[in-house]
Amino acid sequence: MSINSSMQVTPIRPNQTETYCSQLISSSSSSIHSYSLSSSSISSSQKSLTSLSTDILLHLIEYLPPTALVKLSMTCRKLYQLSQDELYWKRHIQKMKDGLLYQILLKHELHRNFSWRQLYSSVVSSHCANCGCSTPYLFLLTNTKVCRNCLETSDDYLIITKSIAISQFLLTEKDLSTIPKGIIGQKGDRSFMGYIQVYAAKSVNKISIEKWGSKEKRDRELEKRKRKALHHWKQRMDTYISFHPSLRSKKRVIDTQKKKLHLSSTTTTTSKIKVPKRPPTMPIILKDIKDTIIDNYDRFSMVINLGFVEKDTGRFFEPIQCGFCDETKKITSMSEEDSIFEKPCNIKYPTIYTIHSLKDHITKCHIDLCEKITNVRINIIQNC
Amino acid sequence: MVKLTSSDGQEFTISKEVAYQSVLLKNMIEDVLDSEENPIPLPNVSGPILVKVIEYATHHKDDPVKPPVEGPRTSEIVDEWDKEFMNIDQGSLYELILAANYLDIKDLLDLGCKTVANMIKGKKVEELRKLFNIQNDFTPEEEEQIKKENAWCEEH
Repeated sequence: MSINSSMQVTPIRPNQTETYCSQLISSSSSSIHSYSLSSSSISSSQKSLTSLSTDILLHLIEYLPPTALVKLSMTCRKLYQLSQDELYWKRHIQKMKDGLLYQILLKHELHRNFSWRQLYSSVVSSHCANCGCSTPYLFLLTNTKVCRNCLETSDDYLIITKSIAISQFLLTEKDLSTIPKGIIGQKGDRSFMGYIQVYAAKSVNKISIEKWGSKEKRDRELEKRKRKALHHWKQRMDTYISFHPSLRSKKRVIDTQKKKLHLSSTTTTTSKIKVPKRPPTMPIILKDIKDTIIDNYDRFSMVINLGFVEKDTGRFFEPIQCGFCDETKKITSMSEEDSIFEKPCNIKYPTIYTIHSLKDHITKCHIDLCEKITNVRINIIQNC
Repeated sequence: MVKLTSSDGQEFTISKEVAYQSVLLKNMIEDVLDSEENPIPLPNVSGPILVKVIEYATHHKDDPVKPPVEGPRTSEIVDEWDKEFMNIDQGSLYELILAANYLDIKDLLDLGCKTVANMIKGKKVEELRKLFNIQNDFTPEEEEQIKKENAWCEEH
């Protein structure tokens, strides 16, 4: 069976197939001609890309870079819907920064609250959502790009603890499961009492208002609960004071005396009444929210640094830190405010993620390290 | 030898080796008795497109099986013959893609998709609508919303 490779210019028209067919059938037993499919064939110029089936189009978009897909999605509804294909965006995030970014996003379970497409677009956009300046930081809790200044000053990036979110925004754990949660404190970090669960105040406030219908309704309920809590707390405080007469004069007793007092009081009173050992703690609902807001130190732990932005040109650079030799290379014209990242283990900002892709350098360091180890081994063996 | 009949009644005789490029045909040939006697009807593929498909299958019949690609794929077409083969008008291109999908010839489907992807790349929205004959069915509000949503794309 041979195929005639010479291209014959024979316009093919479906309604002319009868004569054409008989020609072809007669020749088909011996050879198959290849026909050039000229643009004059009917229907070709009328057909739209959208006439292809969904699964074919989904296959097709795999071959498009994100920017091209976005452009295509802006042409019509069908293609817009297809461009939301989560697998596509997930795959592209997995490819970025050697997969490190993907791991960080997974670690914070951001994919539960944002689509991969949303995550991708915020990762690649370079401007602070608040002031519009170029910035490499991504605020994880709301998936927005933010510069350091806005992160520290704007109320949009306030972080609150879970207990505040529940008591002062009148939410339940279930409500909170719908918004991104951050965890402050790292393994082996002894300065923390374990992990602290935090939320972005902005998102918490939003779902709280949604739950209660309006801000006014929620505030009224909050006021009611506050009064109740205050009343209850005062009662407990009174009981405590009544058992500790020395406190009436509001003098602070030193611990030893306290213990004595405590002992004497327990022996004198009947065992049925429970004597408070410490003054009752103030209910969280009564605390001023500003006092409990997590400070900038922790705000920074909710940020990924995706790279440097050169001030003059707005060009992006990735922060560079080698995991093997602890060397951090300073990039030319790195801005001052980014200089803290020269030492990623800076005590002040311990958990900022610095992403490096200096593969060559790292590979070299790894090899150097391996060589050093083998050299040591060789020395040991020789000495033996 | 295997006989095929296209949607417009044309009959083609090809070797099994060529036919086996298509998973659909392979299954049919294996399942149907006397497949060499009776032509296999292909109601979804027209004669001229089947000619192209056979041309492709014949050229690639000796290709080794390619390993599946991990991660995002590129639309680059490496093979010069493939490039020339895909130099056809848009209507035929769609039909060829549909045929490849129907006959389950993965490499040809990939090639077709790559070709379209290359046509899409680097074009503006209006250019795409014109080139692919796509009707804009967004409302002005929706269009504004989508533009806003995709503003990041303009930076690159």
